[in-house]
Amino acid sequence: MKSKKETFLQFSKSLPRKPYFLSMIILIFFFIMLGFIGRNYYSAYNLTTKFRLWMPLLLVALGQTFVILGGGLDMSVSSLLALVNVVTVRLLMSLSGSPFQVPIAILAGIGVGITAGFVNGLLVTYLRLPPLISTYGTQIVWGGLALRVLHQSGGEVPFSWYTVYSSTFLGIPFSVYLLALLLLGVYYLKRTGFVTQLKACGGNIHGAYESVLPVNKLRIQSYMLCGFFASLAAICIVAETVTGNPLSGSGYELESISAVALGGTSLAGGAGGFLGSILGAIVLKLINDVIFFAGLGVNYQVLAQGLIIILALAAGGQLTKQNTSRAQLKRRKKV
Amino acid sequence: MKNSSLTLRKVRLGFRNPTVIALFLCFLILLIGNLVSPGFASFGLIVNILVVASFVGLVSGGQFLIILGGGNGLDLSVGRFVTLGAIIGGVVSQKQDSKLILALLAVMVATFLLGLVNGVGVTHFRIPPLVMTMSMSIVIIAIIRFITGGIGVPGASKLLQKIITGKVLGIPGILYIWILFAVFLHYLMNNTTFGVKLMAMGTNDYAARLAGVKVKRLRTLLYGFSGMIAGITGFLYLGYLSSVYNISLGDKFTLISVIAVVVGGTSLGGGKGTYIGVAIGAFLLQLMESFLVTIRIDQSMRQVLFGTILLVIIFMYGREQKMQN
Repeated sequence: MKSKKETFLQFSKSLPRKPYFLSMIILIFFFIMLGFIGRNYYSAYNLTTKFRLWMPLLLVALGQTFVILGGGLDMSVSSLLALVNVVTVRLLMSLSGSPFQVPIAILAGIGVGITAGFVNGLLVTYLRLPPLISTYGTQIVWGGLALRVLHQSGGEVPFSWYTVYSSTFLGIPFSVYLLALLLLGVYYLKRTGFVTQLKACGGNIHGAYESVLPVNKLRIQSYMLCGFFASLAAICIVAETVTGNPLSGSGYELESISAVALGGTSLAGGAGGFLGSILGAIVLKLINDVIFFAGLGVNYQVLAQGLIIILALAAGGQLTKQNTSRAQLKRRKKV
Repeated sequence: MKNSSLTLRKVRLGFRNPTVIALFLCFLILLIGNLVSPGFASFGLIVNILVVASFVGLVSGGQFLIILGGGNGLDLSVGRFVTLGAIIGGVVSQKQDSKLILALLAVMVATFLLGLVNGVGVTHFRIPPLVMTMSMSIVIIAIIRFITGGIGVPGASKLLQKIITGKVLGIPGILYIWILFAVFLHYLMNNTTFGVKLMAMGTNDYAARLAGVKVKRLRTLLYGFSGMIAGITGFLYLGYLSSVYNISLGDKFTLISVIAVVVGGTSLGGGKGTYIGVAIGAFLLQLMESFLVTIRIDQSMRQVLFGTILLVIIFMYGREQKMQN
């Protein structure tokens, strides 16, 4: 048995080589900065509000991580968010008064998300279409379907959704509980070996196939998980805005992919982790706050946002380069 | 006997050729369109569709070079480069014909340099092209806002408009530009060392480096070219629109240029494809959209159909290899 001190030492030594190291450093830096320049940034009210607004991106980034680890890419999440959003709102409206209104609407929304993910998975695996272009195609299709369900923003959602979503229990907001629950689920998937098998698919798909892994099944499941997380994100947006919007998710596909990349996950698949994606998503959201409190003009805000993302990604690239060369050195020494 | 089977095989292979399929689909859509609404395949309408397709085709040229260069290359900032080109062109030329050359040069230099930044990020800092170019498009929108300052931009000069839309032998000037561009790119790919190096790099990065291709430098240059081509297209687009109506006028080019490249038979893995195919792909996409407008389906259904047809086309030849092989 190792002592506690030893495990801690080992952990702190391996920390710089963790994929999420960089986003963690940036995050800590941002938090310290916000402590100085952000007026009352750390008030409980502000933090719960912020977290609620971050929630959709966090969820989408988590879902995207599954797909990217499996060697794919999902560009369709943006319009999937819109589709789930309008389906849920439409059902809520047409079922108003019925006792099962809320569960049916939520389940239908999640069902749409998972089905969409399943279709994406089928296209990528059994039909062997390239992930980027096929999910671009489904992005167009989902967007069209969303407009078909609800042709302009509107619709009424019971206000109780917002009350529940923004409520706190024991001082901790509802959304944090939801995220914790989902992270438990992710942890479970890690324990069962699903994530490891998925990484094997992403890292070397032919090798995984030859080791008798159910490659296609795993990849389809990763897309379905992505759809599931996207639909939850859409439901969070519905609860936050209390209305339907067929254009609600635009931009989320690229934002979630940048969050995953910032979190140290390789976009080629096979390496990375979920904690990194969460940190990456929070970094993306915090950039705006930091720049806002720094008192820059709107134009500088946009410029700084782009530059900070590029710099962070560049630093991440250098870090992985260093790590790989270090690992190579080690291997050479052993030989 | 052997000879005839060989020709048969050639014919069969021809039908598997993406360019041939795309061309065939173009004719099919024209035929059906003409049956549904007579006059769809008239000369005037086809020219109109070609004019709209030409801008997509030009932008796709840069995208094509990058995707061909391999390494998961992709440029998601082309749309913003188009906008930037239109705006710099408008600001520098100030509606005066005499400053047109100056404006073109300004557009070329600015977009080429910004494109190089993309390339440096991808090659030297190992940022995945997807996120690098996407972040770059955020930077470019900021630059655009600095230039305009939120105020309207001077539109195109008379001469520029004349060059783009003025007809010679019933064909607008932009189409001649497109044809010249296509011939140039075709020549570049087939008759120069640049083309050979590019193909080698796209097929196998490592082997190309061993064979003496300066992979990093070439790839960086490609991003510069893509930015420049998109910028020049934006400048020409200004002549077509005659004014900059908003600062998102180029955004639609980003997605459609990638799709046109794939529909034209270029593999996303790099090292395979021709510009002629890409040009036909751009025309096919525009034709499809016009067709869906012609048969009067509402916008949402049109989008669904467009996406589905796209998936079917990619299914026909854009597929990846089977796992067993």
